[in-house]
Order: sequence, then structure tokens, then C-alpha cells
Amino acid sequence: MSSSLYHERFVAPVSTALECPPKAQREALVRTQDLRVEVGERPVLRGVTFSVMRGETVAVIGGSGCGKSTLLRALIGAQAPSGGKVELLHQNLFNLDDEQLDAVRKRFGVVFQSGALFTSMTVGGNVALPLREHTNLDEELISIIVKMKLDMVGLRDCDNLRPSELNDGMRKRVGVARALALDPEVIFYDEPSAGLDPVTTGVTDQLIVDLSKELGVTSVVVTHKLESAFRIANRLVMLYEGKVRAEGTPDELRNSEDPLVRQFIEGNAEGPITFGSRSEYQADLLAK
Amino acid sequence: MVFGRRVRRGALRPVLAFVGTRFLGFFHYTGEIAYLFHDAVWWAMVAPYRGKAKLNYSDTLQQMKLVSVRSFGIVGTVIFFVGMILAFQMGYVLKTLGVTEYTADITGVAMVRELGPLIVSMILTGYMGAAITTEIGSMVVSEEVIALRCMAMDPIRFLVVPRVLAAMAMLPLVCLLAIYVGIFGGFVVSYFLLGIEAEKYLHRTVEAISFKDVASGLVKAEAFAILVALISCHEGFSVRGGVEGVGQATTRCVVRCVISIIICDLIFTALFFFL
Repeated sequence: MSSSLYHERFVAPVSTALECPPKAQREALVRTQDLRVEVGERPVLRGVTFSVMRGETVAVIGGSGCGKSTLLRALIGAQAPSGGKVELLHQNLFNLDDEQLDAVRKRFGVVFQSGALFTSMTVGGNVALPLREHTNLDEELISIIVKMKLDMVGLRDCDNLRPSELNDGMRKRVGVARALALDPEVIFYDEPSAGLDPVTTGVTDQLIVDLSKELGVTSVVVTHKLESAFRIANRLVMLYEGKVRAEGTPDELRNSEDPLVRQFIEGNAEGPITFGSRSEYQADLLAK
Repeated sequence: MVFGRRVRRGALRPVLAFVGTRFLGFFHYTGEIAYLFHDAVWWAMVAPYRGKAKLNYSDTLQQMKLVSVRSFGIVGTVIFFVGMILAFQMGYVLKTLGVTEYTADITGVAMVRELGPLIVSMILTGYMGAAITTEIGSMVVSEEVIALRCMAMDPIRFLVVPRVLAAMAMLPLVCLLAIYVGIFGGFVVSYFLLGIEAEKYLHRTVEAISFKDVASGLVKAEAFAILVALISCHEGFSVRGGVEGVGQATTRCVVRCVISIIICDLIFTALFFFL
């Protein structure tokens, strides 16, 4: 990897959250309505309603086990809901047949927590995979596009490396490059800064901000790292016990008077959020 | 009396529930494997001609190498010793009857009809089947399978089809080679220890083995190949709960493959017996 390239692009401090997109662009690309999801018999999402406008970066925050990852899985069509509706790119995901769903899947990208890179392929092979599968481009053009996508994430010279030769942060950035391969309209990030050191977290956050600014791509970021969420998002949605507890700009959430939101943002041990069996559904589960 | 009847009925209930659950579970599992086979056939034979997807040739070749070149060392070693053991055992019985030379007939026919396909598929269950389950299971845990789906790529086409095709192409070939090695193992014992002449042994072996024997052996090998590949892939996809789940799925894969191979072997043996 070229270290100069890495520093040139990412050494600057992470810029603050994005400006909201102009009104003309404000069409909802992601929308859930009373979304309910059960895992086994356990209700994880209990009526989530929110939307993400074109060009926005929305961070979904919440404590462990509040349903963030389940929400992400439902948004990408990997977890069937028990009720409600998920609309992605104006399509009701769970009313589509396989071919229609595949057509929608080609229009969004997902960056997984672990990167989810195919270890049997090189970095370049991973980024080229969607292009080889879904386009008729020749290999020469594909390799140029792969270089471009890797350049966007600061890994231009890494195309011949194996995923096992990369560190966690680099793997996530390759995951971003792969998600960008087909020029998606929406990108979903699952815990992009989980397990990363503060500097690498900053680099990853800056990358998300840059991509949103430069490509105008709509982003949904699921994270439990508040610092990152406030840095990259122009709107936050806070989940608590499978429901949307609060929604607004970073400033609105910072100034929220909801004691539960305040406790979560300030990270206080004392307050309405408790660990253990106090919540309603946890008590139900214990009773069962 | 009434009280006694209640107790008996209550005592039977868990037994009936256990048997019923297992019975239904067996059909449910068979149905899942059948669905997987149907999808694999569709992606391998129908989809490419409708221009929907290309076959993953590089992975197929890689899997073929795993099934054949890399596994033949252990397959050859085991089947060679099995051939020797068989010749010893047959020689022991046939010597008392004064027809030691029949060792060649029995070793040859047993290798071609039964032991070749059975032992090769058992070894490949441990070698290839466990590897497939572990690989796919790890991909499930590390979210690679869901990543494939999110890239509008069907995991069955991408992961199952290459493995099933590789097993179908290579297992019968490995089986043929193994049969030769097994017969050679029997020959070593017969020639050096039982005193059967080399020419006589080879002549009797060729005379004893018919086309039907070879066909039945190869049909069995093909069926076992499909079973091992499908069950291994299915167990890989069913992994839940992280790395621990991968280990459990691998154990389950080996057990289910062995049981399925034995049941399938019985069915084919009965069929070829009456044909």
C-alpha cells in the first residue's frame, strides 16, 4: 500500500457532518413503516418507522441488543419482517420476486462489520466480482474501474493482496470499494468503526463523509459509536427496545431533554436505561 | 385402574413424540436436500442457457483438484490396505474349501460393486465433505454468504454448483482408480502369501467382473458424490452461532453423510440385485 497516498487523503481532521441535501432532492430512498421483526419468537423490532432522504447520511444508534443490526438486515432484504413495510429505492422489498429483488440489490451496496471479503480472492478480485457478474465489461476496463474504486478508499496499490494480508481498517475500506463497484445509490454500513483504533475510526468516518459529499450517495450507518455517528451523520435515529426513541439532527439529539436519550449520549451508568432484566420484554422473556 | 391407564398413556407420550419428531425431521431434511438439488440443477443446467448466469469455472476446477489430486493419496492408501485385508479374510475361508484362487473373483467383484464406491465416498466425506461444510460455515459466520446475496448473486450458484459438479465429475474417476489399487492390494496378498499365480489371479479377476458390476459401482459412486456434496453444502449453510456452530455442523455433516451413503447403498444394492 502506498503510505503517502494514505496520508495525503486521510491525514486531515475529519470534517463535521454533512449539510442537508437541497429540498429538490428530498425523496425518501429508504423508508420503513411500522416495521416489526421477530427472531424466533422474540420480538426484536416493535414498530420502527423512519425514512432516509436522497443524499442524506443517517446514523442508526442505540445500545447493544436494541435491534440495530436486525433493522439493517431488514433494510437490505436479508431478514423478513413479521409486519410492516420496508421500501428501498421506491420498491416494497418483501413484495418482490427474486429477479426484481436482484434488480434492487444491484442499486445498493452493503459494507459489513467484518468486511465480508472473499478470502479465496485477491482484493482486486473482490472489488471486480460484482462487475464481472453483472456487467459485460472487458477485463481491461474492469481492472481500471477496480483501481479507481480502490483509489477512492486509499488502497490503490493493494489489488494483488489477499484479504488476510490486510488489517481490519483496510479490510473495511476494501468492503467499501466493493460496495461502490456498481455505483450504488444507497450504501448501508454495519458498524463501520467497530474494533478499530481511534485513528483508523477517524479515517473510516472521513471516508464515509467524503463518499457522501463527492458521490452524493445516500448512506445508512448502523453504529454504537456516538462520536462517529455525530461526526458523519446529518440525521440520527436512536433505537431503544426495538422502537425509534428519538430522531433528529446531531444538535437536536445533543439538546434532547428525554432522560433516556441524555443518558445514552452522555454514557451515564445511572438513569432509565438499565442493564439486566428491568425492561418489559426482557422480563417477558425471563417469565417464559 | 383409571389412574394406571393415565400413567401408561403419559409415559408413552414422550416416546411417541420423540419418534414422531425424528420421523418428520427425516422427511423434512430429505425435502431440504431435494430442494437444494433442484436449485443446483437449475443453476447448472437451465440458467446458463437462459443467459442468467455464468458457471463459476475457476472454483469448479479448484474443487475438482480437491476431490481428486489432493485426496487420492489417502484414498489409495486406505483402499490398498482394504484390498489386502479382504484377500486375507477370503483366503482364510477359501483355503479350507480348497478353492483359494476364488480370492481373485471375490476381491474383484467386491471392490467394483461395493467396497470401491463405499470406501471412496466415506473417505471423501471426511476429506471433502468436512472441508466444504467448514468453508461454507465460515463464510456464513463471516457474513460472506449474505454479502453474496446483497450483490445479487445466488449462493447456490456460486458455492453449491461448483462443488456438486466437481464431486460428480471426479468421485467416479477416483473410484475407478481406487478399484484398481484395491484389486492390486488383493493381488499382493494372493501372490506373495496365498500362493496364487499372477496370471491366474488377473485372468480370474477379469473373468469375474462384468459390465453390470462396473456400472453398478459407478452409479453408486455418482449417487454418493451428489449426496456428499449436497449434504455438506446444506450443513454449511445451516451454521448458526459462530465458530462453535461451524464445528457442530461439520460433525453433523460427517454423521449425516455416512448414514445417507449407507441407506443409499442399500437401496442401490437391492435394485441391482433384482435387475
